[in-house]
Amino acid sequence: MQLHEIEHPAAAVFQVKGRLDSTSTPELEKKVLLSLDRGVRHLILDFSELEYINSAGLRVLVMGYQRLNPLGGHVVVCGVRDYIAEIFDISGYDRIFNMCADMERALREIDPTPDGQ
Amino acid sequence: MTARLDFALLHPEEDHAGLLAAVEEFADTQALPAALRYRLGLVVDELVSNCIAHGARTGRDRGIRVGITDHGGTILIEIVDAGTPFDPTSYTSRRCLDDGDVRVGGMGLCLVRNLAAQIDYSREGGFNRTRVTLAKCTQENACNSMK
Repeated sequence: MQLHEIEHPAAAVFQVKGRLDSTSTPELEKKVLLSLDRGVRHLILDFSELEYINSAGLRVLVMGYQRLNPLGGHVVVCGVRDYIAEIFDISGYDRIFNMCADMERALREIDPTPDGQ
Repeated sequence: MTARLDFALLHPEEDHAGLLAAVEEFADTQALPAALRYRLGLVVDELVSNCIAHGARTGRDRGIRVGITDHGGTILIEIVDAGTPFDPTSYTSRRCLDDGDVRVGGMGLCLVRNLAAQIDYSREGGFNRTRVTLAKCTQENACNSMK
């Protein structure tokens, strides 16, 4: 797995490439927890280059939701490949995460004003 | 024409990644489409993770045996382990998220239950024997008979 964190004033933004499984998930979990502890309002996951995710990876997203939802924050997941999107559908998690086609729409989800004003 | 992969995890924690790589290679050889390849890897991953988390801790019976058979129209996954008796068919096949209740525990089994066309379980001679059938079709709704 390759993990890239992008700076954003209102959200923790992570691009995840490759496999998110029991071996690689602790690295993402650690960074997500650090962001949540810093008081970040939203979490954005760019999964456009994600090839695999199992329940360990999904748990990190659910953990983010459980921390952010009571504060009015969102977990936004973007760019998910079709065969992985199926997992979000059958699990029902597509109803708690904001699912977007790409990063541009994901950023709009957390700040719907055109210029971020 | 059937094709089969047999894999023995003598040291399950250490051999887990090797198993998943072997499953990927099997999927390559069988030219499985991306959706089916993902389902196969995920179901094997989740069931073996469950065996590792709840299975035998010591002794010669710590090992887990995995068999995958491509029957053409279906793929049969067989997992045999000597852990605590556990029947995955007794687990709910409802969605992992129900009525806003976000559950974390049991998520892997919930995914397996929803991806499988059929699950059978038996306890034989001190071993759990779990058989999961995946349908070889690409439309999730058509593949899934348990949801």
